[in-house]
Amino acid sequence: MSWFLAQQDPPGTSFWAFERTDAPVYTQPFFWMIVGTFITSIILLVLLSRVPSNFRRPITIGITFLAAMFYVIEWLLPKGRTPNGETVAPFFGWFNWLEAVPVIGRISQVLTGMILALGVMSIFRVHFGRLFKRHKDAFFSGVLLVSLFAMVIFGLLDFHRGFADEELSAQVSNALRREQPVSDQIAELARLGAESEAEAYIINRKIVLERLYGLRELSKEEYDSQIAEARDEAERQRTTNNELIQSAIDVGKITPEVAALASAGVTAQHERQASSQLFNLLFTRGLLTMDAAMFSLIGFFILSAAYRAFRIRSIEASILMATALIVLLSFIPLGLALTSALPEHGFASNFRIESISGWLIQTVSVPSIRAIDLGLGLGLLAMALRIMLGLERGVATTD
Amino acid sequence: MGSTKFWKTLFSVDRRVLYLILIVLVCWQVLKPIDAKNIVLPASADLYNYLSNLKKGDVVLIESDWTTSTQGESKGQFKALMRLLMRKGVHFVITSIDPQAPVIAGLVVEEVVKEEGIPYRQGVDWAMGGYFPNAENHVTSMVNNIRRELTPKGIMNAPFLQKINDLSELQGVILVTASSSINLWYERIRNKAPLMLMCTAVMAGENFPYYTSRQLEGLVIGAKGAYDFETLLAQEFPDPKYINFQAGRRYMSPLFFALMLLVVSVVLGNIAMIVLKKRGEA
Repeated sequence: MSWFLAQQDPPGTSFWAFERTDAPVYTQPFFWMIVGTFITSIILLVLLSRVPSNFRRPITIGITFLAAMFYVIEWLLPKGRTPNGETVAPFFGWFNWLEAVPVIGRISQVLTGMILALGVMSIFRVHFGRLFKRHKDAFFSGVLLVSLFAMVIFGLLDFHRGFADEELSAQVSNALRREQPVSDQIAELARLGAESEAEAYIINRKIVLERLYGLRELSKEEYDSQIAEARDEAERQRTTNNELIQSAIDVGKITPEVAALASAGVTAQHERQASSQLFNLLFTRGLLTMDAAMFSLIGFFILSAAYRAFRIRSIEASILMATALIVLLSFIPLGLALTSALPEHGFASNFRIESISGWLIQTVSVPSIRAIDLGLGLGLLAMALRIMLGLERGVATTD
Repeated sequence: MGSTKFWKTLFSVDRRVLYLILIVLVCWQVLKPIDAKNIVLPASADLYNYLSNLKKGDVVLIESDWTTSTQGESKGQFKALMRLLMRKGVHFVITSIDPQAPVIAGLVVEEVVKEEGIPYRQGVDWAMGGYFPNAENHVTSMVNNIRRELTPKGIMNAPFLQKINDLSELQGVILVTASSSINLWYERIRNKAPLMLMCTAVMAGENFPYYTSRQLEGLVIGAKGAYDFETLLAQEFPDPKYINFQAGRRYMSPLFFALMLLVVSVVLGNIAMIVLKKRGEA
């Protein structure tokens, strides 16, 4: 046992470990790995579907048990630190258990991907079916499918452009690390970065000045003159940055400043690409905006539902409502202002909204939540054990 | 005490009337907000003070799990957080367990960079770790081997991350979230770095016990928390060149009136119910 707790260093690598690399991950071998994983998964699924039905339950329970035990062991193993600061959990000196965590995580990600694929297949089945059968809601199915394909196509195009950008960023980092000369491509990116930084400077000044103009702290003349100054300053910055780039080219060695400008250039270049702009149009201006609009409707439903449902029919309901009201008001400055006339110290301060709310939270709410959490934790533990051992109904069994 | 018809009307007001009053009140307050002195909550002040004392060059991890569904609360918090970190020169890595969240967080960072006018460059001053499926595994891996977890994302080239080998070398983990992802951190962080939370108002109750037990260094709650953060930013950076107040303060007044409408409508509905009950009509 003392050996077990001695936090011995595990062997340097094990079959779980993968080599640390700073190279871009999304390369051709990466895609072949995806294809390989996909084919292996299909074969596994086919094999599993051929398993006789009386063996299916033990297999499912066995895999569930092993998967759960993996994290139980990870949790229980004593952890140590190597001289280079890495956390390790030696498993009886065989290998570092923590090296397996990312591997198991990736297996779980592949399974999640397959579940997603099942979901997409289900959408196709339902909505293509409606289209072909000329269902009365076929139009909406058509809209859904067109949106789905548009998002996938433009998303993938943008994702694909991301590889090129990632490679460019890696080139810039490598050039800086190896103190290489500034290539034409990096110089061009750095100039683009200088330009985008100058644009960002003007935008920043405009935001600040427009705010001051809105608050009537600036006259129109002052606003115009300061905007003109900002443009001049941006131009000066651009010139200085371009001189920095030229001097790095002349010296034959990339500097951290030029590398940073080149990185900004990579981002600016990405933003100007058609695929990126189309994806932004669909995702940022389309999906996100509609998403926000849809959620904002909840406010109306809450108001209507609260008005109809919160009828005080007992003493408990009255206490609950009064408590909710006080805590609610304590989270809004205008609510706090209702009792701000009371002194901040002394006996009367106890009747300020923030004092009552603080007492309710600290003395009533927190202990209750702790008790609920404790009960919940014990319940979850029992439930987890039942699932691990295959005793829970609905998990690998309908008994 | 008024006619029965009046109380019956008050007992069952048409929902469209409520919607209309809500729209009018919120629009009025968005356009002409009423300002009131803010009393900063101690939980918000704790989080702000911890971050405010960080040194230039320190590194924090931000797990951003919010999307547009809660942007009324979370975006204000996130922007205020970004402002403070950028003004202090603190480096940050953003990760997420929500597929949409990294894109939104990236857009907000760009927005703040432009507003602040500080050349905070991605890959140099901050890094985007992106989306991590399987939240449990992600948190476990971050706590046990942050380098191995982030290396496949290609961000370990960032100068400020090159010397980071363990989570304990970071100055904090901040979650800006509208989900229960913080629970995974409570369970697994093993006190390696100070944990901080910026959450929606409905999550306040369940997370307060962790603040009172000091498992959380600080706690910023809902739109009020964003306003608290903005108030503290304005105290530390009073120069008019800084943009300190934004969504946090702007949403306070409409939020107050919306909540007051909710409270008044519930109270009036109950009074009407009691009156009608006494008259044997309800």
